[in-house]
Amino acid sequence: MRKKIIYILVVLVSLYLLYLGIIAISRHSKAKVELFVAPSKSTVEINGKKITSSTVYLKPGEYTFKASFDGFDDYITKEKVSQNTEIILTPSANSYKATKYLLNNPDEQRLFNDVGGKAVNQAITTSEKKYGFLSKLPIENRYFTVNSGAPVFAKTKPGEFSIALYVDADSTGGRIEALKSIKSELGIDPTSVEIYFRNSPNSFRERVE
Amino acid sequence: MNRRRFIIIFSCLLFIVIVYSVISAYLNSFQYLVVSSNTQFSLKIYPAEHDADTIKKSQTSPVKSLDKPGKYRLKKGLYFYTYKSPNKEFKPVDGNFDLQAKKYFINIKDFAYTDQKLSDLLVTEQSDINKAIMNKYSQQMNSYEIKNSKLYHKGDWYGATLYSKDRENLDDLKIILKKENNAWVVATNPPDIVLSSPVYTNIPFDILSQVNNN
Repeated sequence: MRKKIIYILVVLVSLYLLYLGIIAISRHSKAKVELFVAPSKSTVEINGKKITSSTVYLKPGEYTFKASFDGFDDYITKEKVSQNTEIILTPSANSYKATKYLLNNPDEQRLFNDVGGKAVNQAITTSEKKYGFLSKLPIENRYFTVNSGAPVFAKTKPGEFSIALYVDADSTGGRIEALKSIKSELGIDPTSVEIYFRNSPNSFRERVE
Repeated sequence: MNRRRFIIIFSCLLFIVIVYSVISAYLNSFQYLVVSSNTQFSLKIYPAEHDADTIKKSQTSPVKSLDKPGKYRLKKGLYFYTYKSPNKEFKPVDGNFDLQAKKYFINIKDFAYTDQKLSDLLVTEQSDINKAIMNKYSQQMNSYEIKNSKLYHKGDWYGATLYSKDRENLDDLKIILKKENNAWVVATNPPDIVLSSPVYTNIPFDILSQVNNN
């Protein structure tokens, strides 16, 4: 009897090790991607392939994520995936059917708020990374002011958070100094952000406004 | 099952786990470098190290010399690379990458001409470029003159400073033109103090940056 138990244990341990080995090999050089979806019963597709798990392992690269749920507008997004990526998918409740579903399912409503909050936090983190210099604004002195504002001519994608730097300076010298400050005090390459010189008498500009 | 047999089986299992861990650690110490190209090239990859704010080669002989696109396995780490075209009119390109959890992609596309070749080309193109600017901004150009002219990439991009004649009231402005269908066209309308990448998404960043800093 004792012999049999030991045999069974050895077989089980071997199978478990084999399982761990297969899992490790199948996930080798793949990125862990966590999906946060509301409503929870939405159908999720990655590059057109249906997914049932909330954690998937994908090779780093760009993928199209789609979440759909009866009565809700499909949520489609193209995202670059790297290690520990979080993808938030929230089909919009734009119909009577969708609203009714949420009213009748308070748990789903709560999930909607939680996932929505996560999306807002993610947007804030992204913008803090991209525009880390915002905390150093405004730069003010007697010759110029540099502050942030909405983009004027920049091309932004729908839903993308973007800003421009507004420079107020009355003289050509003030604008040159403002540009130097943007480089030295904010530590950014002026090419990478839209800079809008509000008082610049640019006689060429009328052609596009 | 006697004690001896149990120890043998247990040792075998332990051996498998250790071998698996060693193989797994070895495989994990490599990562892929993917090289794609639509042209002839020779690429040399060197181990690199940080030197103050820059990254430089840590040895003079390359760890890999490549002349074909493909997927190559390298030990994880910091690398410096340089690639060039067999055609001497094209400028070699340098770069570096830290190969870790993700594959690194080097896309060798069209080479840019050397500075000398671009300067030679500018001599023949300058009058057409000036005409294109004057035709578009005939009135405004009375207050400006064209300075810091330079061609970029394969001579199909041009950047310059419109230097203000009224230093007190008018700013110096940057302008970029692109050669399309054998004619020069203004690509940054209007010329501005700084040409920013979020506004001109169709113009390569390196050109915008060089023109702004010229």
